[in-house]
Amino acid sequence: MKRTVASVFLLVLILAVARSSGASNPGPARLFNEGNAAYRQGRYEDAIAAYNKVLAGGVRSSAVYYNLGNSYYRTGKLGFAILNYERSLRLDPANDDTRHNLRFVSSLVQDRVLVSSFELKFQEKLSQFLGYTNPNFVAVILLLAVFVSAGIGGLWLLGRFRTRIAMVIFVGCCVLAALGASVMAGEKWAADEGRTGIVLADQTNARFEPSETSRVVFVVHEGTKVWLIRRDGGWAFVRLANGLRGWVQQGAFEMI
Amino acid sequence: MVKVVGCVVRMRMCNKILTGVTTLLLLASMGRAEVQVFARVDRNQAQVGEQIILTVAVVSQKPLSVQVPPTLRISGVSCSQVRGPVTSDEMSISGGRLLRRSTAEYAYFLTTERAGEIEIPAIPVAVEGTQFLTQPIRLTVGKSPVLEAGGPVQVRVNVSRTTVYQGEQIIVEYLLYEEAVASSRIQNRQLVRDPSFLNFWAETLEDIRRQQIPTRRETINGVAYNVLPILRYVVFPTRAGTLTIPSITVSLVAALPTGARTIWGEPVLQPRQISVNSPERTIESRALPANPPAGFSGAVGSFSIVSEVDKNKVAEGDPVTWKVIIEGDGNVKSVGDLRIPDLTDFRAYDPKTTASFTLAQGAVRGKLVYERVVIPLHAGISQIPGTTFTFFDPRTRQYKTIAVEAKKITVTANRGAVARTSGGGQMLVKEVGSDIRYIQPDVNSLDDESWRLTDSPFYWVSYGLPVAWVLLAFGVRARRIRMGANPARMRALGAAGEARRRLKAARLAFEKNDVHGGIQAVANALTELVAAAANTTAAGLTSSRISEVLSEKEVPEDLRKEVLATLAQCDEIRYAPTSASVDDAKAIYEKGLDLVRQLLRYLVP
Repeated sequence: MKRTVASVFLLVLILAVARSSGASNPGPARLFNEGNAAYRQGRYEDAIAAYNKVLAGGVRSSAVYYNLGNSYYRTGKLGFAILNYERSLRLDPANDDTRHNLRFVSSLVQDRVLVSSFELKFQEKLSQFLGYTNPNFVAVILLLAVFVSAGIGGLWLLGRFRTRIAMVIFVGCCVLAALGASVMAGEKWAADEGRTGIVLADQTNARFEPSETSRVVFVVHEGTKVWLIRRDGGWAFVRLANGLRGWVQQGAFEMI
Repeated sequence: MVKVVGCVVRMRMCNKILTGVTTLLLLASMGRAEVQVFARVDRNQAQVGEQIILTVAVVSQKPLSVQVPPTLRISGVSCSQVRGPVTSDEMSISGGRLLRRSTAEYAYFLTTERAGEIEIPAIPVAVEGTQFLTQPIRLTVGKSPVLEAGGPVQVRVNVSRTTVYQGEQIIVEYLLYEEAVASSRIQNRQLVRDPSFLNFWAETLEDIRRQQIPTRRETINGVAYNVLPILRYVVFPTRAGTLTIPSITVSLVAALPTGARTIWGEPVLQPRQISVNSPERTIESRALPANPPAGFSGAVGSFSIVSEVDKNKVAEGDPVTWKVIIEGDGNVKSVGDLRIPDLTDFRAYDPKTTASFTLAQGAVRGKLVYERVVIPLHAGISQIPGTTFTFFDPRTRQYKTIAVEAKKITVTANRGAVARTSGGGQMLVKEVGSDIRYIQPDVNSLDDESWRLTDSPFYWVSYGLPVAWVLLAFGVRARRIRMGANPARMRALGAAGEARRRLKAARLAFEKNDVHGGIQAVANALTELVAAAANTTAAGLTSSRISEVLSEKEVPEDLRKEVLATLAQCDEIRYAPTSASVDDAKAIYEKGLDLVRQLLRYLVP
């Protein structure tokens, strides 16, 4: 009898421990739902905490970043909102809701950066175009184009399928393959060279040199997008969309 | 007097020189500063009504984006819209270095309005998004002499009526009178102060700054004057009582007699900046009779009303343009909304209302056009209802109501017509607010989206397949080219292939118990193989020729005999089919198969 009671007690204890450990480390879905519920009730700080826990668990979902951006916007943190919308777009470039919210929140930030030179405008347009393309889709298209063009080319070498339609398909696939390769190269450039960040500080001075005593080149405010050129100590040399460059404190912005 | 004038001229020259030196010094300091923003005036001293040019200059090492205020608000000075920029580039070499200076200048034309010390405050200038301020500038403005009434230059005010009802029309004219003999000595006429109508609804009819107004000549008390109309308004009193028609101020430069005379007895003239004020006039505005009828919206005058449609017969669903036109000598802009009944037989679009005034034969007439597009909803006779308009007629001193009758429109049936709607009008749906879109609550969207196909090594390995295929095709093509250089081998290979096909046909024939066909195929396989080796046709090959060919190809004698024997067996069976069984034929087939294999070793180089 005593053994039975002890066994039951042990079983209950194990279940309790398991339950408590589960409660302290809930699944991403549960945290996500908690964040959604907090958002619906207007508890935006709680929603931010829940969504951040989902991300801390290793989940990389555009919906989480999107909801996090909404929550930050509701708390008035435009910089964080824009940062998370940008991150959401990286994962799901075609999401219309994210694009709308990003456009809307960007219209509220204080800085208006006018792009003047042709080169910068081209870079801006290229970044926008690459932002709309799905990398996996481009990769599949490129692979298919290479397969078809190689197949037709091989048959041509063997003296088969030497027709006008084959020539048209071959040229078309070659062009498609070249475009696909260009887009993939552009995405690689965007990932490597075009590293962008969002200013999170209310206001920060960009200086000629990485020093607080240096002269101010320009002043940027929360939510403005910057391109990181290089780092030096606690400073980062950044560029704006209009070409202005200066040194800002690294803590003033966060990379997308 | 001449000395005084000389002093003034020298002071102005000194001012210009000082301004120039300041600009040069600022330009000289450009080597140290990146952007220099400053303001200057063409003179610091002026009289009331005179014009001063204020220039804002931005000097930099390269052309920059500059934004200046479109106009300035300065107490005691009226300012024009900014003009410019006038840009210039200067290149120079200093200390072996190439220096570039780019200057952009913006000009404001200031007209002084009061005497005293006036300070032009610091002007904000945005250069590439960075704000700069110019230095403040002080002006000393002296009083300009006011011409006495009845002098050679006067500004008069004509009003069409001095006693009117509230809301009744008055035409106000401001006229510049210049003595005809002095008119040629007057220049630089400027309207310094516009009239500020209080207690009037004022509409500008003519303004000399916007249009050419013809001058006329009048003789007053035996003196001829050139009369230049400056402004013409139609005004309507907005309240009862004694009201004042405001004055205006005109500034001009006139060569006026000093009182002295030359030795020839002619008056000495001196150019002087003068200001001329018009006198103020008062008018009596009487209140309208009490208890106006319902529908009276304040129109005073004599009016007519017309209702018209662009077509009286339309198909169902076709649009009709309906206009109500009110014309008269009152203020049509104060009529307000017309009392239009509901249009139950039509779908109606938002109305468009336009009001205008025209001056003709000394009287002003107003015209109000109420225009609306309506679409009949059903076939038959549709009716655009009539409407009424109430006004006060000052001539009869009574309120009047005029009306237009309903318009009947014949509507023919139309299958493609629009559906009938319950409401009489439509509203354009517009976005009235904007905000972020709602969260995405779907928990299924938590899948990892950061995975990229290009991260997988299989993706890049798969590119090896097309590459291998192309390389293979290249290899086959190269082999074919290489073989094309040895026609005998090609021919023999072709014959070998043909022989295999014939043997296959033989096997199929034997499977169908076609002994004759099978044996024929075996014989053809052997003879055509030999014919290909001899570069001839199978038809001309005899047994002796076959033996010769095989001998030339160094085929061993045993094999040659075997070939000839097999061919002989084939001929025997072909010409006497009943002499051989299917098994015999199959044995010959097997033999033929073996012979072809052996011959290929000798016949294919």
